[in-house]
Amino acid sequence: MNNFNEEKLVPDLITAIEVKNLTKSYINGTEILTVLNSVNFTLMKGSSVVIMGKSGCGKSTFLHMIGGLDSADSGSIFAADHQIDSLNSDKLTQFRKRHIGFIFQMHYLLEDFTALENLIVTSMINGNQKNKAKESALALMKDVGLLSKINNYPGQLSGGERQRVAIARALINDPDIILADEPTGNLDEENSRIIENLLFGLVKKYQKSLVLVTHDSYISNLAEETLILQKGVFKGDL
Amino acid sequence: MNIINHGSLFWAKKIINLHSTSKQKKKHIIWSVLIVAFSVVPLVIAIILTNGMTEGITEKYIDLQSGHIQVSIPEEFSALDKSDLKDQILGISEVYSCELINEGFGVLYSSGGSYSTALRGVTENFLESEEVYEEFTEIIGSVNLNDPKNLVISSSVADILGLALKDRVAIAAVNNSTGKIFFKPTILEVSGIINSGYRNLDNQLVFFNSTVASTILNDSGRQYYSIKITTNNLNTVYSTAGKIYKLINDSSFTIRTWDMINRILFRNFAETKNILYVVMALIIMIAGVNISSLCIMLIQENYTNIGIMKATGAYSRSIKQAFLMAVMFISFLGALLGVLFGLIIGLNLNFILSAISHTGIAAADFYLISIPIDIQATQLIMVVLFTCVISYISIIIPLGRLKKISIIKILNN
Repeated sequence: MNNFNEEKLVPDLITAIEVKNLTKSYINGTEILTVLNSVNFTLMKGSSVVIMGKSGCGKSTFLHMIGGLDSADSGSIFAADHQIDSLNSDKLTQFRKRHIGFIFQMHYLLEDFTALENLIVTSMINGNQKNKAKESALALMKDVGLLSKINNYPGQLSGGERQRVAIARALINDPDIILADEPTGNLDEENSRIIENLLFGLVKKYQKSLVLVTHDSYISNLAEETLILQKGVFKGDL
Repeated sequence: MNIINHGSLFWAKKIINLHSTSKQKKKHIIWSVLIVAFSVVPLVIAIILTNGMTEGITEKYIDLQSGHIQVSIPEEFSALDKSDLKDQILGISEVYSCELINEGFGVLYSSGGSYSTALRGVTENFLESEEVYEEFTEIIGSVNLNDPKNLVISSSVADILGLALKDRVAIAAVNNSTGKIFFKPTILEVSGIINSGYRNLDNQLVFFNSTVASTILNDSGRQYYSIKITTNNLNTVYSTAGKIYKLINDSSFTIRTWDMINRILFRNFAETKNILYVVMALIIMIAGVNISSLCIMLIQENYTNIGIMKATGAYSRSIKQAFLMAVMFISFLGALLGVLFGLIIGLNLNFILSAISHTGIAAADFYLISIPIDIQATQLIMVVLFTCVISYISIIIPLGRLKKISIIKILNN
């Protein structure tokens, strides 16, 4: 893990994410709560980082800003060769579509769609043809070990299985970066290990960059680097 | 670039899929389809009714009263010339009948009272000709006027004067220009009572032999050729009238077409029709409010899904398209069902109106007893399109809110 103050000669070729002096505050009544205070962060292409910290410390906010879901008060974010803080709403959508795959604590699968259809619709609504979408979806369902349950609706899947479908969905548009926000937060330990191993395995297989926010210290063993967000700044490796 | 995003279409199908949806949503979707359908039904019936009324009444007015073209004959024109001119007019290819008619205004007296109306002197077989005869829904007695004493009246005139077959009636003419009554009454006998099926027209139907008419209406009436052609199409009527004008080439003759003769009547029809359509269209607009609320409900129910789709990179316009297609499909289905229900009722209109007329509702008098069912596909397509346009307009605002749905708010909740 490199801090941003280290100069890179050709950052576009090797850097997946680069954050410079990122600041974000919330107004809580009369109090201003600064969750990110001039944060710098760099993630190399194909590598993974785990961000840990107390609840409410700003981990998810940081992840959302990298994914273009939330805006910063100041600072800049470069991700997948885009300065995303300067993009308008449409360009941000396009950026997410091409470069970002999200996994949330809740699976957020579409209840009216089968597991396979959840992947297909995500691919199709982003402009892919049905045949291609189905082909990719089947391959990913195989990757997450749910080929036998492709026609099951989310309600017919266990919590771990739903999260596996959510992982497959995050990969369906072949993004460069996977952003995972406590993906095992709602799972028991056994399922958590399965999901964590699966996620890191797939990230490695498909050479994606991964930023994972968690409370689970076990995951830090799987990631190449771990950061702790405390009082608005990263405290460095565990 | 595809105009329709296939993913949006895929999602739209799921949004309205009744098999995999909540009971509340299912109920709302079915109700929405039915509300649209029921709002379309009155418009479809109004269209069928007004088309049929206009066509039926036009047909009756042309066949029983005005003809397609009237050529008024100047008084000085001799009988020999009239016969010759009639033959020449019949020589025009589009013309299939040319009747010499004596028409005037007069008063009928009977033991039951008096009634002033238009009087028509026609040739003895005029009422037996196919196109005239088929306009009668009821005939009592004979419509042949070979006996100069014969008088054929409509059932409504018979009702007013308390007349039955074989009853005697005195007729006196009224001078057109001065309005004075010539008291040289002629006694005729009711030989036939007819019913055209349209009360307003029936009130004006009094026929007798043209020889008698020339005596009764002498000085007060007018003579004209009532010409009928092979079609009601106005362009053909005008072109035939032009041919007749060229043939006669005399400014003392007046040529008028049926739309000119019945201008006020048809203007009234058109105005009534338009008012009716506007009222019915308003009902569809009210249904649009329901479509709008359905759209809001569908968006609310899919609130989280919308946020997640946005997070995965779906454009707001693609999401909007999914909801647009879902709601438009519901409207389209409702409109089609409405047209179908409307057609079923429309095809049975005569039965329904007959039932209404037996209830004694006065309004039924203004309708035809038997309405020709005239269904025009283009009008029905316009109804469906209009409904879809109203639905589209009514969901513009709800769909606009999609863009404002915040992914962060959804994730934080």
